[in-house]
Order: sequence, then structure tokens, then C-alpha cells
Amino acid sequence: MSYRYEGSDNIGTTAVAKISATVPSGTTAAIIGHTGSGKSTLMQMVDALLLPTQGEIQVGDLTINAQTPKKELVNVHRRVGYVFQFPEKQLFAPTVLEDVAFGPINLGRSEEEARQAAKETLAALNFPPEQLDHSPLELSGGQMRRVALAGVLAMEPDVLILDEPTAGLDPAGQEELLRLVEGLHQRGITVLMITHQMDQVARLAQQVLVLNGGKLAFDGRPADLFAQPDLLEQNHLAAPQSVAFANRLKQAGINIGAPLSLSKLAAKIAAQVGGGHNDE
Amino acid sequence: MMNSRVLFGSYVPMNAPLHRLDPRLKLVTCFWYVVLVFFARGPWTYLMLVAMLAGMIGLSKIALRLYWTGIKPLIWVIGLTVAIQILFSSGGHVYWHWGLMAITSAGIAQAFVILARFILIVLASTVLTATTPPLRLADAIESLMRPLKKLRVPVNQIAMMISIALRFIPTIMEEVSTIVKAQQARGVDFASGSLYTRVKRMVPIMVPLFIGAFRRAEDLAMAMEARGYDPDQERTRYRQLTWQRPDSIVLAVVVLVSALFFLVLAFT
Amino acid sequence: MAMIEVNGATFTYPGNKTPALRDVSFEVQVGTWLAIVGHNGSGKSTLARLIDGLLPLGTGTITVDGLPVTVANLTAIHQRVAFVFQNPDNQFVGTTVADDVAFGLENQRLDRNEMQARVNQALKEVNMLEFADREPAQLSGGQKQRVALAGALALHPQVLIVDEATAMLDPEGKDQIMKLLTRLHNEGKLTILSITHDTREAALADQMIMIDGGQLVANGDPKKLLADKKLMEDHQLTPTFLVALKDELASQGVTGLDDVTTEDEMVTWIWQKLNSTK
Repeated sequence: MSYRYEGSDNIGTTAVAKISATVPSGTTAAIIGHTGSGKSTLMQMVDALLLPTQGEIQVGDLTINAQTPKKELVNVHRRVGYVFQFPEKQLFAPTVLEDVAFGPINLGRSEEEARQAAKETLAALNFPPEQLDHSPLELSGGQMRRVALAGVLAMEPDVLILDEPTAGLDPAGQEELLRLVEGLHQRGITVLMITHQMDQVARLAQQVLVLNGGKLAFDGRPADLFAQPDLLEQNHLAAPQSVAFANRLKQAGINIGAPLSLSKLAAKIAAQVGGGHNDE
Repeated sequence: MMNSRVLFGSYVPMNAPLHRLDPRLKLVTCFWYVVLVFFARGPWTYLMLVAMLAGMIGLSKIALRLYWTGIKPLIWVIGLTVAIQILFSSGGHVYWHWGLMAITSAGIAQAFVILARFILIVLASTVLTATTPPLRLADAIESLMRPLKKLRVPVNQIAMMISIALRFIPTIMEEVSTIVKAQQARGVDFASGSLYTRVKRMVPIMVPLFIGAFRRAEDLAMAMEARGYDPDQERTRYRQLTWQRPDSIVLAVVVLVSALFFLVLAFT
Repeated sequence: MAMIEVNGATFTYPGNKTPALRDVSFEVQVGTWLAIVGHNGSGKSTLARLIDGLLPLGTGTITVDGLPVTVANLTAIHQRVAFVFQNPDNQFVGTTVADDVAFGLENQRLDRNEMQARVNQALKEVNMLEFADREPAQLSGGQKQRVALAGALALHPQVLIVDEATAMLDPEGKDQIMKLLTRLHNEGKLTILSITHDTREAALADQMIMIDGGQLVANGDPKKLLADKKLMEDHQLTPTFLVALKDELASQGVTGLDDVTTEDEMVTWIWQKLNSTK
């Protein structure tokens, strides 16, 4: 199964033009770019919340184009889960359980099945079972985000779109969420993640799409993107912290490449200065 | 962000002579014009009204085409009113009748008058709203309401409410669109269903919207307090309305034309 | 001279049993940049609000510029303390950029000419003068926060409190706000309190206090506190990149890094190490 967009679209100020890319099934792909580069527009087309004016988008065996009838869009929503930015803002039901069961019920499951799915999803996200009948509005920010995420995951999507999932969370909350995304990848879900955090791209993604002014500026592996400082600058992007530090070493005449994680960076430095040999 | 469609009542940003006039003058003149429309009798006074409107539209420098798109959505209302007027009024020569309905010469004449009044009033108010941003209009209303302070009407607070409402309308519209999309993504199908299910579907939109609005209000109140806002205190105004020479000239013209209008009315 | 003195400050939200802030005491000198750090829900925002009199203090005392923060002094406190909040949209009161910057000045009943001068000056300072007539819907989050900062600066405050003002911004917007704060700090007159859980932000400050469970758990030099791995982890904060790197290097057997306190020093250290071994 593959996800392919050949979209062109023109809505308001954020237009997306002639983007062609394929994200293989099971991949975690990061969608990055400057504010207003068209990231959200592209993702909304993948979930058929916006229809492309030209071209088509393929999600598994479903095809979305300008002629797709409205009734068929529900099939796309069934296949693709979309977690918006600050998703806790969309919570509305009187209890956590009912809110999470809302999606499955919309997909035509029985009340019983929906509740079961909701319970299982929340349990998988380590949500404390004694809080199932609490109002979602009484929870902490991190817990609310988890409930909102569960509401989408309970629909058992094959593809999950996350729009800045860690925005507004504190370091512990961010770390928890990133681990969750790693878990989704292990379960074989295709994840498309919009983010501004390059450290998250380096850590989680196998593929990265860079958008700039509605056009696709890069499609490839994170390691290849971050090894090109010029390309990053052209697209107003920063490097992950470990790469940024390696770049400073490069300026001082020490070339250790572009390590994507702290431990790789440390290993390369240790190899240079001969750390292991000093160990007695 | 900017909607290219011009709807009845929306502002068309430009720098035409009419855009630059004092909003108080424009508001009062618009009201006065509506009054004159109801005084008008006979072809000469109507002709004068049309001439005045043509003058205003000319000074607005906004293409006639845009005024037409402004009126278009109202065409059904206008058509219905005219039809009722033709079919249900009596007097004069009867051309056709069926039960309660009849087409008479008086009815047709009446309908023409109503049609003319309708179009004149709609166009005049479109001139006002197309050349004056809502905020300036709110300033004008506040300024004109100021004498009511003596009657203990909380003019300052009302003005602040209007201004905050205008400020947050676009923000809340954006929020509605996000919430709708988010719930759509959770499988809500807004396109079909009975009236009951359609109403029920509003819950997942209205609840987050209200919660969001309350949270926003709380934040806003704290931000306003931090910046020293006290509803019971007098405040100075940053945005001030300044009466300028063109305003005086236009006012003089309005007075003269009105005098002429009543003269013509008296002698015909 | 102390600009802010907090003494045994305690506050409980109505309807709650446990206090959100318990017996917190510290001082901030004139012109200091203080970072108040802690995870979400630790009580750091409550503390900031108490300092500006936006919440009524339970027990203890707080003074700003020698003036006790009490209901009777609120107007004077609001004139000395300016506040920039987290949400860019919810603190934008005016219908246009210039109107928003003028809002606080209108409340202080300044005359129109003085207002105009201050609005222009403040917008110039945050590099938003050309946006004076824009409406908030036409601005990015970062631009809105710069307007909020201009609205604060226009009041000519002695204390500027920024409560997670960059938390909802993209890296570019974040960067611009941090650069602005650094410049204001270097000018030297303003006492800055920045509430954050971003350790990179805290590293820019002169002084740092850490709040957890409503209590003050540390007060001192940010360089030292941020390097204290145990302290950071105990209170659910991530160490800075430098600290994490030193730690990782140590675990890979690289020694002699104890005196390295900045990333620049780290680069120099590595360079020297390589050139001395050759």
C-alpha cells in the first residue's frame, strides 16, 4: 500500500502546487516547512477535508480528486486519522469514554463496540482507567491531549496525521508523546507528522518532505536533508541540535559529518579525541 | 483570508473621497437620505434622489458591478415584496383578478414606488458600509451616542463591547472552520441525515466553540486588567475622529440639496 | 536594589484544598533577568500573576519597586509591571496593531500626541512599525506576540513579565522574541521575568528559580542549576544540550570536561584536545 499525492490546490492564501510524492506504508514521514508553506493544506487533502483542484491523491486503494463525490469522503476519513493542532480544543462529550467512542460510533459501530474500542485505545495509551468517566475538561493539558489522540486512534486508522503534536506541552509531556508516536510506528501505522522541531524529525522520521511556498523542496531521508546546510537555509529551517553542533566543529576545522542524535554525536567526538583510551 | 466576493454590507478597501470622509457625517447622511426617500413624491423628487445616489456612488469610486453583486442576494426579497404589492392592493383600473388577488393600476403604481424605495435605500446603505470599515462605523456610533452618557447609558462599555466583538469575529470564524474539519475527520457526516440528526451534529461543534469562547474571554479579561483597564474609569482615545474641511463642504452640500428637495416637494 | 521582593507568598485557588503556591520567597535586583522554570502545573504562572496583582495574595507579602502589591496599589502596580501572556490571540485587544499597542496607554489616559509617539516608538522597537494598520487576522503568531511586547513596552514599565510567550510560536517567531528580550536586557533598565520550561531560554537569564508543586526548589545561577542533572530530572525538566552532551561523552569515556560551561568552550576544548594529541 502506498500513499501518493499529485495534488495541486488553491485555497485562500495557502496554495499547494503540483506536489508529487509517495510515502510507503508503515513509514513515519515528517512534513516540514515555514509557517504558511502549505503543510496543513497538503495534509487536509490527504484526509479529503479539502479536495485537490487538479491531480489526485491516493490513499491505499482510494483515490481522491476534484470529482470525488461527498459520500465517498467518509471512506477516506475512516482510513486516515487527523489529529489537529491543540486537538484538546475539540473535546466535547461529558466523559472521557464517550468522547473517545464518538469517532467509532460515527463509523457505524454499535455503542457497545465503540466503548470497547475506546477503552482499549485509552488503555494502550496508559490512560488511568479510574478517570474514564471524568469530564475531559477537568484533566491536565497532557492528559487532555492524550484523550484527543485516543479519539482518533480508536477509529483504527491506517494513516495518522499529526499536526504539531507536542506544541504547548512541557518537556515531560513532549517526551511522552514522542514515545507514543514511536509506538505507533512499531504497530505499523503510517504516520505523517507536521512539525517545526528538527530534533523530532531526526529522531522519528524515515522520510521528510520539505514544503516551501506551496512547492515540494525536498523529499528524502532526514540524514540527507540535514547534511545540506544550504538547502536548510533556503527553506528557513534549522538543523537538529546535534547537527548544529557538528557544524560548529566543522567551522573550527573538525569534520564529523552530520550526526542525527546526541549519542551519535558523542560517539564521533569520542572517536576523534580518543575518549575510550583515556579510560583506565 | 480576504474574501473576493463582495457581499451586501462588506467594506471595500480603497482610498476614494467618500472613504476619507468622517464616518459620523456618512452615518447621519445615510439616515437622512432614508428619511428623504420616504418624503419623496412625484417624478422630480425621485429624480433628485437618484441624482444624489449617483453622486455618492461616483464619489465612492467603487465599480457599479460590485454594487450589483451586493444587491443580487436581496433580489428574492425585493421580488416577493413587489409581487405581494401588485397582487394584493386595490384601487384604479382592474386588469385581472382571481379570488383575493387582483392586478390593478394602483397596485402597479404602488409596487413601482416600493421597488424604487427599496433599491434606493439598499444602495445608499451599501455606499455607507462599502466605504466605511466596521470599526470606524462603531467609532461613529459611539461618538454620536456620547450625549446619552448624561442619561447614565454606559457608552464607553458599549463601545468596548462592539470593538471587541469586531476584533474577535474573524478569530472565531477560523475556529469554527477548524472544529468542523476536526469533527469531520472523526467521521461526522455533515452532508446528510434528518433534521434531528443534523441538529444533534451541531453539539460536537457548539460545545467546543463555547468552551473555547469562555476560555478566550477569561484570558482576554486578565490581559486587559494587566494593561490597566478599568471599566468604570474614563479613558482617552487613540483613534479619534477628526472633522475636516471636505466634511464641512459635504455637509453644506447635503443641507443645500435637502432644502432644494423640500422646495421641489412643496411646489409639485 | 531589589526591584521585586517576595516573602512567604502562599496562594490557594478558590475551591481547592491544596495551595497552588506555598511559602515562596526570593528577591530580584533591578535590571536582572530572572527565569522562572518548572513543568506545566508547577505554579510558576500563578507566581507571575501574583506579582502583577492579577490574583489576590493569600498570605505573605510581595513588593514591586518598594510598593506592596495590594488592592489599593493595583493601578500603580499595573503601571510598573507589564505582562505578555502565552496565547497570541487572546491578548490582542485592539482591532488593529496600533490600536492594540495604544490600549494600555488609553487606560492611563495619556493624550493623543503622546500616545502616537509612544505607539510608534514601541512598534519600531519590535520591528512592526510597517504593520501598524494591519488587523490581527493578517498576522502570524510571532508577529502578534511582538505586538503584545510593543503594547507592554509602550507603558514604559520597570518590570516585564513574559509568561511562556514563545510556547505557541514556530522556531522563527521564538527566536525573534528571544532576540528582542536579549536586546532589552542589554539596554539594562528593565527587570525581566520570563516564565518558561524551555531550558535554552532559561540559559539566557542572570538568575533562575525553579518551582515544583507550588514550592521554590532552587534559586541561583542558571548555568549551575541547569548543569545539575539530578535537580533537572527530579523536577521533570530536560537538561540543556550542553549538559546532555557532556553526560553522553562522559559515559563514552571522555574525561576532563568539568570546566566546560558553554558550547563555545566545548568546541575550543575539542579543538585543543585534537591539536595537542597530534
